[in-house]
Amino acid sequence: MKKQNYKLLNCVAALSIIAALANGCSSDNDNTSPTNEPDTSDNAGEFVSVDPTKFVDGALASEPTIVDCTLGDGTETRCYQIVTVGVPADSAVGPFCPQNITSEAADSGIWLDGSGTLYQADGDFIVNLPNIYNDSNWQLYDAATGNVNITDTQEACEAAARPDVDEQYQNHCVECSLAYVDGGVSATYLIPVTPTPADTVGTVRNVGVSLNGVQLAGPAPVDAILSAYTIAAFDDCGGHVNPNDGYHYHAATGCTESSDTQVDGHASLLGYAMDGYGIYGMLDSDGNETEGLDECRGHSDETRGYHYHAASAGENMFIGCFTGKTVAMSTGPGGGPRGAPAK
Amino acid sequence: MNEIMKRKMTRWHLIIICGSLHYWLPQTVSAHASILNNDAWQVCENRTRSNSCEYTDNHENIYRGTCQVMSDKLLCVRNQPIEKADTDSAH
Repeated sequence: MKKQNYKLLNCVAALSIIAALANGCSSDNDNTSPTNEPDTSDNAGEFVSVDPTKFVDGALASEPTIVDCTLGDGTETRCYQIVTVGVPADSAVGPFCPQNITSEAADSGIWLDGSGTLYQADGDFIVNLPNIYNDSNWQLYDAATGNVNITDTQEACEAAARPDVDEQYQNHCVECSLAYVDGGVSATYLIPVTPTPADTVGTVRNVGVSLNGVQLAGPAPVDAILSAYTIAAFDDCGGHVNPNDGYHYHAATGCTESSDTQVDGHASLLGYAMDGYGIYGMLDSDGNETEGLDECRGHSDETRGYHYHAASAGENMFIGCFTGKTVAMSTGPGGGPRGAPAK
Repeated sequence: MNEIMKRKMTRWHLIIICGSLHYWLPQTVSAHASILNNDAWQVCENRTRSNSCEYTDNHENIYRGTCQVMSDKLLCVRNQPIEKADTDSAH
């Protein structure tokens, strides 16, 4: 997007930063906090507000606007209204499931167990499912042809994507096409212009939005998915499609991270959380993780103020909770997104 | 079989051996016997929000953090760097 289109928004953001810094300097609060406690000290009040210019060209359906909004505790404030187009602006969607047990990693996506382990969802993975999950009932392919059982119709997608998976779709690799949701689900996010630290941490349902315009979703219900002898393969960017949300991410694999925003070796910005704080990648330019994160996976530094760091792709999450206040639930889980099929 | 699966199979052999040893040793460490590793959820089943938690993945890497509410369940959210199994400087 053209930077000049956001001049007014940037001015508001700059004033917000100045106000926040001034507030932080006048606070008497101790600036230290235990490692496991949310960083709701005065340092958490320092932040770099949402910068609409950071979004990738083509990620948004319209220029962000600033609108009135109500936070979960009833506070009236101002929010960026961000409308995504429903598909990633800078990367392809899929592939997800391997077609055959001979399929290579390049022809399929990834899968995780939710506890750290990330798998290439290739043909070998499909064959080894009984060993991986220690259950001989796993049989995701036709033994005669090697073809993998994949939900290949909208009806099958919807039946298999339910929490109570239709029995006929057990032992399937669940895959939904963007065509089932009219090419993508456009979503509207309301994100506070000025992040406000909350007294207690907030529960994550929808995490936020990536710079390339994709929903950063909460954890995939891996236990429920696996208990039905299904996998819901992600593509290599950590995303997949469901009938309600369309394409969304469950894991940070590097696809969404901007490459030129951090000059000090800090991890790159990948998106914004629903409370208005930035979410950065897990590793810095030297491949190291940040120490001293609070229980939400956030911390503060002098350059970026308070911000989060995404977990690893195998952990089935981006952040652990919200340190800041989010928009009231009536406008969508955690303040968004409100989705509608893209036109 | 690609290199990833070869490494994985080697790790599975190690896990099986360690699992056998674990059966005979005193239960002084938390169990991670389930090959379906959903310990990130299980470790928080009988805990409350913000309680500390720790689990080990299939590669024997250690994850430490606190239990947080995710999708109406408690999940162990790591807030310390992953302690790699093959790192000599592990704590």
